[in-house]
Amino acid sequence: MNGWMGKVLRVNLTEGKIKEENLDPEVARDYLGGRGLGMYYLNQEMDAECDPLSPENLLIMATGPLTGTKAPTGGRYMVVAKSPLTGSVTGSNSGGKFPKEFKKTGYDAIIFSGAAKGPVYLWIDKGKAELRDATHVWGKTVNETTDLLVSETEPKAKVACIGPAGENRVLFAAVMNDKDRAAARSGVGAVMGSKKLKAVVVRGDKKVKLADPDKFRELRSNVLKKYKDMNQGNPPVLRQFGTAHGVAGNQGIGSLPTRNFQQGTFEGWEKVSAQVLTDKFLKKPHYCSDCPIGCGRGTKVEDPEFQGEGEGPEYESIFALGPVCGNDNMASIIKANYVANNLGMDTMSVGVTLACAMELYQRGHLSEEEIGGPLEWGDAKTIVKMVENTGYRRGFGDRLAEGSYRLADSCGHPEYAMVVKKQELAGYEPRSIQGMGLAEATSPIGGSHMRAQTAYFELYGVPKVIGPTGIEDKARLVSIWQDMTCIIDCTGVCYFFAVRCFVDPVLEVTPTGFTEFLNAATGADYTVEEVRLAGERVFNAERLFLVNAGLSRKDDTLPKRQLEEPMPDGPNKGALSRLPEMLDDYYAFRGWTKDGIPSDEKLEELGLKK
Amino acid sequence: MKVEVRLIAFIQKYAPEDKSVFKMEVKKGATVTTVVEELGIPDTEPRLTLLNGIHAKDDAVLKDSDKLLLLTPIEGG
Repeated sequence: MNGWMGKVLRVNLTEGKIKEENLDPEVARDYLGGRGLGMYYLNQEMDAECDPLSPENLLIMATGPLTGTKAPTGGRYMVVAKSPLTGSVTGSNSGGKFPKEFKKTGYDAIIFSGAAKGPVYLWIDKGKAELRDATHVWGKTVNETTDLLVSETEPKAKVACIGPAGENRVLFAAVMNDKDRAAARSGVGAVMGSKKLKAVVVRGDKKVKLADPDKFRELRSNVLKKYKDMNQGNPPVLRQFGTAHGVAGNQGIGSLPTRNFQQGTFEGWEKVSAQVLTDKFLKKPHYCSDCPIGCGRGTKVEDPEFQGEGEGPEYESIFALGPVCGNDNMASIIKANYVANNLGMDTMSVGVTLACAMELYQRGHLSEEEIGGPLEWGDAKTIVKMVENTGYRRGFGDRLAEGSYRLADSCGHPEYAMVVKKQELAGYEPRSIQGMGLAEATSPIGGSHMRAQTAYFELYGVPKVIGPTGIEDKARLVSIWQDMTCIIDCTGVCYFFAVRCFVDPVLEVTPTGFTEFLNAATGADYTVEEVRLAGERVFNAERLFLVNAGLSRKDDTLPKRQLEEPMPDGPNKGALSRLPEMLDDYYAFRGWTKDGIPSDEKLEELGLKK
Repeated sequence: MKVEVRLIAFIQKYAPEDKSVFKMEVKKGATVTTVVEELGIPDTEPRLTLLNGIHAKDDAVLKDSDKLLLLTPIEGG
């Protein structure tokens, strides 16, 4: 095959057996790869009602047909499983250098089933795969594990692993790769931990074959020139400032969630802005494979209290360890981000869960005895300590490790959990930016900014501005952007580049660029409509899993706060999320019933079966 | 009266003497548009506008010591 490697590796951890099989070309064509391929296997082979931390759950790592092809930003992969945090499906995306190396081993995907008796890691060296004992690295941090496994395999090997958080089944543990890159959300690291799989180490020697290398080279050169022109000859803003640039934009429209979403503006926002990160802490930008952007932040903190060196933070990590916890100490945010990375945890969920605990404490629903001390807004030192305690499930950290919903529910006040489907919201205030509210409520994985980033057109003006406060046309646009996001996650490229360069600059984000690249890579001769339909197919396949797992319309909602408590501050003071006015239109546009179940006609159109 | 102006990202090229933060003398009744026009920022330049940390429209009237932030919009993630 071209574009795809044409092979899938199956690793049965219970039996310790590994076998190789061919990738079905029809499945590859219909589901593209990455998130779609993972979803296909989950729907085919797994009971959606299974316990996500039991051996019955599958853990699938999958690249896309553009991963490793030198398509700009084609260096990403997905980790797909049933989530222990939400009980729904999840697919967590990551970049760095690991995904390209993984594809070069000759496999499009690895499917892990069962669970090992003791700790193991998978070592794939130039197409030869073996399971090795991992007892000596069990309990070690992400940085320690990565260094040790590289030293005992191959200096050029790339590592994806879990840290203590994954081993301890923290419900939002991540799968980390290249030390600082995270397939972060929904607890894919806890699933890996439950399987006693500590790491996947890869060294590849195969090339990704292209159907039309000359055409591919021409497309690549054209799209890189287009991106350069777009930046007016300057380095991209994302390279200069990182995603932290979002702090100012969100603050400006009252969408910088503060103190567990009790406010939408943060008085200390300038102290946690991109300027401070760039001026005081940035050492150099970091790049994923084949990336012309370089949004990664290589940072260093000199302050003895929060000393460290590593990567990040992203906007979402700043929001979650900063404003939403009332914290304006940038050094502590960066440190907490390092700690979360090294223990292998989602910075967003750990920060928002901590914010939930702070509000429960503020309102007297959690006592100092339960916490082991006070838990005040903006207490920078305690925030860093609590992140560490969570990764090790130490003291009160054991309760934080269960996420906001379970914590708030155990205190008798689930309404203070800022979650959708039990997963913590991203750094946008749904009362101030209506499309993001609908996108998060209907996201298959729960709270997330990466299932439809409507902030592009509601805040950043890409491709043009449709104001954040209105709801007109939002149901249609959220659906279209959700399907486009599936194409991104299936093909193995990055959102930041794709939204600007692989789709047409219209609100409908027609995937023309994607189609050209996919055809030159795979030779599959897709039409633009077939690629669009593939995105819609994957989104509906996920919806089917979710319905089979027992979720429905009742779960497509936002916290009570966003629906009933008027915005207390900022430019949208008095506003509520208008989700109830948008949801029926959304289901109708999707071809789903009023209960949010895909209709028979829709399933037939997409070639899906119940 | 004087206002503090801060330009971030691409829009910084309109800053006088290459300074991204500077004070500007404006007349009473001046608006965001007054400052934008004085700096020579064309309508075609993408920008977000924050006045004292809050999104502001171009006809917002400025007060003494106001902080005006103009930034090139890009995505967060």
